[in-house]
Amino acid sequence: MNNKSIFIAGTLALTLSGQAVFAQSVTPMRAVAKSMTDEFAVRLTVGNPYNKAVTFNVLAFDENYEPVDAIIVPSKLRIGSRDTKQIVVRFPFEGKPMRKVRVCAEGLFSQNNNTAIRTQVCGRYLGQRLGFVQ
Amino acid sequence: MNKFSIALAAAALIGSVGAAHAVDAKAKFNGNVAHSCTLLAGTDGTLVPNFDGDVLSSKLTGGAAATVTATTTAGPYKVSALAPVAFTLGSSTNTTFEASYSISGATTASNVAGATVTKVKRGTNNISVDLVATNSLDAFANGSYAAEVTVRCE
Repeated sequence: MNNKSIFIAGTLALTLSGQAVFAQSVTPMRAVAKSMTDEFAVRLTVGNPYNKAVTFNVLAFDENYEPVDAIIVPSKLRIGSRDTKQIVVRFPFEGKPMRKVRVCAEGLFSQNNNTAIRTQVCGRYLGQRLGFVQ
Repeated sequence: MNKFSIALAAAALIGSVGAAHAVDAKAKFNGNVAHSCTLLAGTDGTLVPNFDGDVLSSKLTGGAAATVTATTTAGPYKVSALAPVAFTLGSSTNTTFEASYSISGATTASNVAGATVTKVKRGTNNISVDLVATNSLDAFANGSYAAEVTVRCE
């Protein structure tokens, strides 16, 4: 491989990796969070793959999609075209040694027609409490 | 020191400089893979009334399904289309909603009930979403109606 082809391969790898970041809506979508306190937190990256700025709502659910109390920072965020932003969601263990939760990033896209689409990308997370004694 | 030993020392010095040029350098690469599902909303759908006026549907002639593209890097990921509980515009009295969807591309599925989750394969999945709103007692009143279907990837 000569110098020119090495340069082209390097440029291609960087470009592909950049596209992968832009194309993500919520990452990671599966994770285990371990904590020694009575709450746990997940830090997620919300991505906007559209060619315009979009406002997303972040929602917290239990494993059956029932809304639960959580501290979401920020719970509403506007992300520029093909950009990403990070959020942190904190859940209490509620006296349990582990807890399964879901976090959804929701965007509403309407083109002023009569059936709009609301998109939800939802990750599933497991909180584990270390040293839990009942 | 005679001339020969001076020359030998000089040659050794040059040799050591040459050796320094031959040290290998390591170029390091780092990467991170975070699998994900991306939803891209396409076109909105269109609801049209039936002859009796008690059904608004995207499946009737003149209606159109809404489209969404789900791109997954790995899996397993699942999609569903959740029907609304009410119109966002217009009266929802005595109205029930049914969503359904079909998938083409990496995954194939046809006319799946909206709440049913479908595992999608890695790649681009084209989802067309239909909505039917039925008024159980009467015809829909004159006016505009709008509804939102939630397409979920989990």
